Amino acid sequence: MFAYQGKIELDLEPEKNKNIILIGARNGRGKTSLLRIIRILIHGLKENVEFTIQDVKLKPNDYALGNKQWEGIFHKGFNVDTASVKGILEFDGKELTIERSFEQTRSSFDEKLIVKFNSKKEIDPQSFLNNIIPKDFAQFFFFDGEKLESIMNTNDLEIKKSLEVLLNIKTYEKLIDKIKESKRKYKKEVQFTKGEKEIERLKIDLEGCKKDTEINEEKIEKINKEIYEIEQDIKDIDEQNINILVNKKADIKPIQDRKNQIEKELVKLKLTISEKVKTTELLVLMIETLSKTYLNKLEDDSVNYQLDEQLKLFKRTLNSIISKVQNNIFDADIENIPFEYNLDFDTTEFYQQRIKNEADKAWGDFTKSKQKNIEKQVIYYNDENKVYLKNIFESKVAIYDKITLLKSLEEELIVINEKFDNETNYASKNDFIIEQKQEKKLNLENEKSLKIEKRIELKLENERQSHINRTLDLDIRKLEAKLSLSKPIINAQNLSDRLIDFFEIFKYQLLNKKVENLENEFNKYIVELAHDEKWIKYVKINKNFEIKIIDFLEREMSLNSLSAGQRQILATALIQALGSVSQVKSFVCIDTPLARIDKENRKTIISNYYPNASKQIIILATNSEIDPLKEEYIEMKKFIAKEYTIVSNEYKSFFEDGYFQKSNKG
Amino acid sequence: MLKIPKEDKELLLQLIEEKELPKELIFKLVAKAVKYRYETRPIGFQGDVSDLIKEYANQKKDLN
Repeated sequence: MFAYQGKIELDLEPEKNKNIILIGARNGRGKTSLLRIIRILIHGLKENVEFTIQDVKLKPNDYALGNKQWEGIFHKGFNVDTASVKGILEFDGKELTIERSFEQTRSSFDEKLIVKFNSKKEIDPQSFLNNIIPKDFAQFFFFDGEKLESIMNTNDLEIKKSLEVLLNIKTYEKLIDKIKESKRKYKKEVQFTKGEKEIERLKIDLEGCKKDTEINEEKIEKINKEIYEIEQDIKDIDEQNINILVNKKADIKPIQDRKNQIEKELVKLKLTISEKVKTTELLVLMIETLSKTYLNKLEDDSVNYQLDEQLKLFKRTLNSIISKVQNNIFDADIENIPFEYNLDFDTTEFYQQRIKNEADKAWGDFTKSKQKNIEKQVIYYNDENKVYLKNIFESKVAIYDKITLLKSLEEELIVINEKFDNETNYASKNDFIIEQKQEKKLNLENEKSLKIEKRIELKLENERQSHINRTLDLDIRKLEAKLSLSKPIINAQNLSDRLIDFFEIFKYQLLNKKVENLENEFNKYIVELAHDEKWIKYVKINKNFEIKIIDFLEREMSLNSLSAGQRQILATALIQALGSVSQVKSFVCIDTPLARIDKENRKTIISNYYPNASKQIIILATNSEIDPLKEEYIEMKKFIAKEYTIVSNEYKSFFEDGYFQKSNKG
Repeated sequence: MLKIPKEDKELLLQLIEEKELPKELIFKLVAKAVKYRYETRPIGFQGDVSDLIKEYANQKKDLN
């Protein structure tokens, strides 16, 4: 690689109390190439943009393959297309092996890296190395002394991040990230589990539903009472109406009864009369009439001569009677017999025949005994009929009695009917009251129906509420069960929050403390390294790692106002301070370390800085910087573990033991 | 357990007392962080942290 060709092994291991590896070389022999190789070993080329050639930043491809001004990493003299470097280091008390190789392709290059830590091959080797020595922080460990002052510019964001790695802040940041990731994981696990708040909300809903149900139950109870009261009112109305009706009946009944009785009696009486009339009465009536007329005539007819006339009259009378009978004409008394008792034609005809017969018989008898004592004769002529006539007369009396009774009953019926009508009118008044009450009852029934409807509605509502209650209750129980299962996760989630809070505060406090330590160390090393202390009083570093230089007049000084030597001393002090407070104790490699340091300060740096800078410090120097014959070298010698000199021929550079042991070498 | 830097430890103890968090858990977490500090994608770190938090969140009695 670069000017080196073939396999070159270099032992750079320090010894007890001897931490310096001094490598000398004249300009152009490969000193800076060695520093570059160390940086390439740690951070590679592919993702590195920090390589500069003559203050020009090169892209990795240009840097590796070279351009007009730059030869690249592959040795041009031997026309090789591969290059590699391997470092065996000690880290955290364990062996760290880094092996990096490059192979040129047509227009680019391939880069391979193998890192083994404690014999275990790292999966992501570059990241592993970056975590030990951040890429942007390489300049603090492997640097060109001539450009050391540039590291004082710490306002870069990447530098800030790198400082956080070195000060172990990044460790806690990573831990915070992991806790946050855990929290996200917990949250994801329980994201579908509604928490206590949701259960509380559902419980409130459930309580609301229960309360609604209770209110409805109360309403239903109230409605039930109202319905009961309405029913009672209806019952009362019914009872009142019944009473009215009963009373009405009580008033009318005797009249009605009497009326019915009379009517029945009348029917019966009429039937009796009818029957009697049908059987005997008509005949009786006719005979009676006939007999009366006949007797009357006989009484008046004391003279026989008159008999013929009388008989003629008798005949006429009989004929008249017959005629009357035939025409259904009765005498005045008989006419009072209701029409329905009139005889029909057949009956009339029967009686007509009978009367005829009787009349004929009477005429026959009369003609046979034309004697004077006709009265007797006539009277006794009907002797056998005397009893019959007597019975007939009695019957006639009885019929007349019955007819009289009938008339009396009919009169009574008229009276009763009038009374009945009066009572009925009175009852009608009650009917109006009943009607009113019925109307009221109807209203009450309607009211009751409405209330029943309302009750049904409320009951349905309660059924619905009950269903909701059951659903809510079930949901709550399910949620509680889920919550119970997720409780450990939720606990972990809550603890994560507290831990994140804890480590954020811790990180902040630690950063402040480390920055404060860095500042203190920085100031301490400035005092140790600066030969002339008058140019600077102290430096201040804030948590963003911004460095402010304060002079003895408490004024902030610009870095540009300092000399190159002063800037280099500051940078050295910063590197030393960083080495002191850093968790990573890296080896240090310095190219051209004292180029810009004046004589007085050189001594201080050699005696104060180099022995304490690191457990291993590789110094790449020219003999003009550190002359092997002069005081600086002698001062340093007691801390030097190994010495080499880079020499070169026309083909390649290589190492020889010893520091410029042959003055004309190189 | 890997060594926790002294000044980190002092600060941790001070904050543990203030925040009333389980000391054992904090130091176990920090030890894990120190163990994996150089690894970009450390295998097991996430799981270890999650398990530790879950364990202490649900078992340890010194948690508030």
